[in-house]
Amino acid sequence: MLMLTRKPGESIVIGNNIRITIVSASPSSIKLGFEAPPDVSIYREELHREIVEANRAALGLAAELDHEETR
Amino acid sequence: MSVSDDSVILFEEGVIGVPRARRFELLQHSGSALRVLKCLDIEGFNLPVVDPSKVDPGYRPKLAERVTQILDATSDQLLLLAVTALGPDGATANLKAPVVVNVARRTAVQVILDGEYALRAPVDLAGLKNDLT
Repeated sequence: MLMLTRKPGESIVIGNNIRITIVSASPSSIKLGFEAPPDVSIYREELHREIVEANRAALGLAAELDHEETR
Repeated sequence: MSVSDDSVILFEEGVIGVPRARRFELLQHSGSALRVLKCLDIEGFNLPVVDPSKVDPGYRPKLAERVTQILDATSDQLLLLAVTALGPDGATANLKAPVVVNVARRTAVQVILDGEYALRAPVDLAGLKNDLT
């Protein structure tokens, strides 16, 4: 993993069109600002993970529906 | 499963967590009010979906500009589908991350909404089935 040290007010540029700025930092948290094209989705990881898990749970119901139909 | 519409719906970004799941068919499940998004890229990757307004009649989420931009349509031209799963207490629909479809262009995206929406809203599958008859 690439690691960079930044101060509040400084930024990181990813590719040509994504910029992440350190807005503020405290001992317990940091606030980040994101600038990215509209087709780039930006989510908190824990929320993203919950949706991935919900999608995975849906696959089980699909399998059950298939089974019902072949009975 | 019968094919209600054989044209392919393209998820340019894939579904959340599975970027290579991009091409789907939307099928009507014969035995229930559910439809199934059947993936053409990954065998067995099939997502049951339900009309979210059947789960919450007041469901009219505000879609981010990026969504209407990607799908090139205004909110009222888009079809919303809620991914449905089976949990320990029965079926639930994901109102937090609906699939949004531009039916005319056959493009879709799964979005995570801002705001308070249930990730697991209870769905009465039997009740939905009765609605059909």
